[in-house]
Amino acid sequence: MDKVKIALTILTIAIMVGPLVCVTLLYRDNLLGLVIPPELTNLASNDDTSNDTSLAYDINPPTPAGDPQYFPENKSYTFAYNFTNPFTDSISVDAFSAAIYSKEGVFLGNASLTNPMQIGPGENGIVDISGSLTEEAISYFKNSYSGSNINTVDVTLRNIDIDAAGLQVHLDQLPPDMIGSIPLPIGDLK
Amino acid sequence: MRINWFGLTAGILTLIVLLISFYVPWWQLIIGDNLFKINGSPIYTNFGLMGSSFTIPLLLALNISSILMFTVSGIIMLVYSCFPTKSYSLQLLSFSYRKPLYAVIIFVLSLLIIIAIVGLTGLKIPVVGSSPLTLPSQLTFGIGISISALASASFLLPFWLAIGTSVLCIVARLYHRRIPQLT
Repeated sequence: MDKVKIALTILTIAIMVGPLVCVTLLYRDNLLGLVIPPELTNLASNDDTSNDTSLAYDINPPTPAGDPQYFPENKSYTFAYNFTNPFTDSISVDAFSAAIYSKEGVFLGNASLTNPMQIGPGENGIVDISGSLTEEAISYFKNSYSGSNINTVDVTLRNIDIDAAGLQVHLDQLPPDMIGSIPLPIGDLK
Repeated sequence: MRINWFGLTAGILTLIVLLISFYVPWWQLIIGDNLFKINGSPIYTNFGLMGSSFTIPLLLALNISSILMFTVSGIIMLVYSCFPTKSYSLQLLSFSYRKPLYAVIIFVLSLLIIIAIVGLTGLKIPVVGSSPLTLPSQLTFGIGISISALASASFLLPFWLAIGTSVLCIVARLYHRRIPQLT
């Protein structure tokens, strides 16, 4: 019965070693590919030329959708961003909050997501953000811009908290190359 | 004809575990709302990122080895169970009864080792249950950004079925001593 034992031992070795040898031979020109699949390499390098595009998402930062609006009756404003979901799953945007500052670093008010929303795979979604200006902000605009012909002032976001797709992201401030500044209309504030 | 019923059941269960494992992982980790997913299994390990999945070639090779090992050990266990009194039956049983147990032990140890290694980077991944996961500051390039998400992990049905199969395989081995052997 040694033959059975020997046959089973050879079978075990063949089963354990065979696939490893095959995959090593397949990747002999790129051994790193054994542990880092091409999908991840493409994702890291954002390589659009590769044939394997299963993870080559075309992620673009949100772009402004229309001009920001200011409503003097309740000192509130709204602005919107257009975001295309590049993934194959829906993305839920559950919360967004940020503090608005002038370029000179004056705190102007807070902003938050108007309504939680869901963006389907490959779909465009308009993310509506609203907030209100503080009394100090209104005084700041009146003191700084009254009499001038400037009708919009670039403001920026700080202390941004985003809750999307189950991910909580906090940014101390908005990267300038991501969205840049928001042209807040101040025509009614001067 | 004498049959080792424990072995027969264990052989069938081994093949059932193999089949189920193609569709359901042994262990699953979900980060965020299916933002990132790990489906761990000796049979088919894959990773998911926002609905797309990918695998690692080296893991795929190990998975193919496991698939072949489960298939062969399940079939050999069935053959043994139907002929437990043959002179070569002990060799067949000795080959097949350990494999599901080895698969469970190696899988759990690998999982714990990988999670411990990942933990060295500061990412505390749960083995079972949910816990908040925060990306270490060295991975966020120090640009004033922090990223966190809820990570949920659990062992699923095929894992428990594999443990049951392993126990049944051991019982089949113990029961083999009670079967009078032909010489």
